[in-house]
Amino acid sequence: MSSHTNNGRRRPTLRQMVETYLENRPSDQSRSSSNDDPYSVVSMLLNQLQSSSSLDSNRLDSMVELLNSLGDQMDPGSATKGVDDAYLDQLDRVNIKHLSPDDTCPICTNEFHNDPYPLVVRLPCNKNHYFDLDCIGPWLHLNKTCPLCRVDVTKKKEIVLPSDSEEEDDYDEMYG
Amino acid sequence: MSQLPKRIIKESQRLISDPVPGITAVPHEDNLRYFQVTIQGPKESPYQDGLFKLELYLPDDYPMVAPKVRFLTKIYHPNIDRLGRICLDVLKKNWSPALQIRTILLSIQALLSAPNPDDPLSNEVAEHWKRDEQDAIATAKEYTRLYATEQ
Repeated sequence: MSSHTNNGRRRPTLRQMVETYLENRPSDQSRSSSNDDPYSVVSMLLNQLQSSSSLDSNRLDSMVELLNSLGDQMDPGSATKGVDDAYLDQLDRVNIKHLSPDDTCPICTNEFHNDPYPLVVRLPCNKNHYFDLDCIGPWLHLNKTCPLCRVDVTKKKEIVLPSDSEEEDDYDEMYG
Repeated sequence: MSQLPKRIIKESQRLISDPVPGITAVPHEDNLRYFQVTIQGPKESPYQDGLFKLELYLPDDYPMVAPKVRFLTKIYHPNIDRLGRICLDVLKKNWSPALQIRTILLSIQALLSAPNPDDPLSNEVAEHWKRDEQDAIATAKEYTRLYATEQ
């Protein structure tokens, strides 16, 4: 399986190229769209490849794969929009005493009770959608969606069903 | 190599002890993030009676990013290209860290039962599918016979 080992070695090299590029590109607070322009990344990659000695098909495949993943990252609907630490800080904590011994974190799949100091948080989408903070944090930094139901967790908890008294309020408003 | 996360170990064990029907996934002994996968062609699909080999790789960031999966066996399918790359939402923008290797492989198996020429990766195949579905299915069956069947 030497070919796979070779692939594994080659990929980081390309990734390094991109990382170097991303680090060195003009840093602009306002994130002007031209800096994130996929075409500039493509042309950079092509230059790198042209200057490298060999261009075999494996290498080309790796590049295409890399470009695809870059494309995903640049899709403004996905990875560019995560939450900040302040959001994570305000998530509801779940008391470990309320969790059954075989309750597992959907991300790491370990039992919450296995951790001597578990820190479990609940997402606003559903009271049963809870995770290790250490697991959900890195995900939410990059994505705004609940891993279990894909609901945008930054949309406020307005989905909470109104209690009886609120229904009466609604009636009053309609009347008004 | 960094230590293998517990989740990957558990997933690997369960794939072997409690395999998904029609699917095998075995980690490579030299690299436990690299799996050799087989998927049986679903019944009543053009891939029936075929056994398809795939490779699956868990990147360092898994499960924050999706596994990388590719068909090794040649297959005629509008959402799978010549290099075996798969166009499937859960492998890209709909990936979630609550998904697992087994759920991803199930989705790929389902994709074989339900080709989607309106969201193609392989344009030629998709156009063939839309122009003359019966003929495209015949080609897919022929590919299955030629490349995915034990000779």
